[in-house]
Amino acid sequence: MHEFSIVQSILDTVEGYARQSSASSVKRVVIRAGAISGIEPHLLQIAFDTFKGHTVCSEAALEIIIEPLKVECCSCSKIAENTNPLFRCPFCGSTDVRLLNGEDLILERIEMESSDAETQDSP
Amino acid sequence: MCQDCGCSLTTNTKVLEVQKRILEKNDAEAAQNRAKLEKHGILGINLMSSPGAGKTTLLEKTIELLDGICSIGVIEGDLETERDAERIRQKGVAVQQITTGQTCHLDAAMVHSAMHRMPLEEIDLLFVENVGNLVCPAAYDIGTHMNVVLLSVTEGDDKPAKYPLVFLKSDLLLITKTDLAGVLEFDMEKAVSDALTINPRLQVIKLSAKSGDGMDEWITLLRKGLEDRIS
Ligand SMILES: Nc1nc2c(ncn2[C@@H]2O[C@H](COP(=O)(O)OP(=O)(O)OP(=O)(O)O)[C@@H](O)[C@H]2O)c(=O)[nH]1
Ligand SMILES: [Mg+2]
Ligand SMILES: [Zn+2]
Repeated sequence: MHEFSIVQSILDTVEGYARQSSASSVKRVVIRAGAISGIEPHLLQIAFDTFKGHTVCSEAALEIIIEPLKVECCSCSKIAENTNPLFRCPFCGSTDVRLLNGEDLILERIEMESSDAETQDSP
Repeated sequence: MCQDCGCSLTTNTKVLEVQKRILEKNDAEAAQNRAKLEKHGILGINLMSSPGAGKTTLLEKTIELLDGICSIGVIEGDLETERDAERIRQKGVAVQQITTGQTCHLDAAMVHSAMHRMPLEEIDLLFVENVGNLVCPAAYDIGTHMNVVLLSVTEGDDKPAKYPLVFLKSDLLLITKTDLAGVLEFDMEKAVSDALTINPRLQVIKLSAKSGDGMDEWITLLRKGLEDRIS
């Protein structure tokens, strides 16, 4: 259960960006979680809602996009998603596959609000 | 107009595309740990497993077998007690305990501060015993050179399929407690082939710290790692 630590990292990072952009509040935080990244999405939601109070994210919603496991077969060069068993090519049966997506935890996007007009344009 | 309440205060919504690894800070700290180990010519090894797979027992035996060959240091990660650190201290090597409290894994910053309390100039081989947990430690690079996952035959052969990340992130799989394999219905071939399907680069050693079977292979691998470090 390292969802609490992950949330702490998210909050710290978002806090930094919000300060840089002189945002008054954060409305939405979007993260991308790989299918085998080892986090449990509903626990991450609970952790986020538990810890966001008294931070710039206190009113923010957390959106978690689950990124399916995606592998490329080194034998037949085909790409497959959500394979089962995880690392076997469903087309030719080879286990010589390369992981393309599915292990990462990425902070994708932050939607912020500021009452200050100059910050309208995005970088 | 403000969309929430219809008041006339204008607010600007700004969308920032970040696209960054959430554990980026940890990864940077891990790189610093690795650089520090390298500066001292130390080989760092991270031991990960479920609770009770035999990490501390393996360390005790490894320290005995490497006596007079190299100088060992151990960082012990545990939720609460100092018991494992005490077991290692009995063996006469430098040991630092990290008690993580609620946290189910070690991160690079915790290992960094434990490294500060260790006599690094005297150490050739640094083991980090991670918190007993097959999920969380795998997500955190702590700055060692080799990730080792222990899977004991008492846990069942389905673990690689159920917890793929730790097998993906490891360089070496140790199947432990092989002295018990006969009594349990542990399908060795299935466990190994599932793990290799996830990570074809994984080296595999089957051993028993209790009977000593397979320990020579593990010790040979460590000595090779140490030689590569020096040369
Ligand atoms: N039969 C047998 N038992 C073993 C072997 N290695 C360890 N054990 C036993 O397994 C139990 C747990 O071993 P530990 O070395 O404490 O395991 P650990 O992984 O350090 O445990 P945590 O730190 O709590 O996660 C102990 O009772 C050991 O005596 C082995 O090779 N064979
Ligand atoms: Mg232990
Ligand atoms: Zn294929």
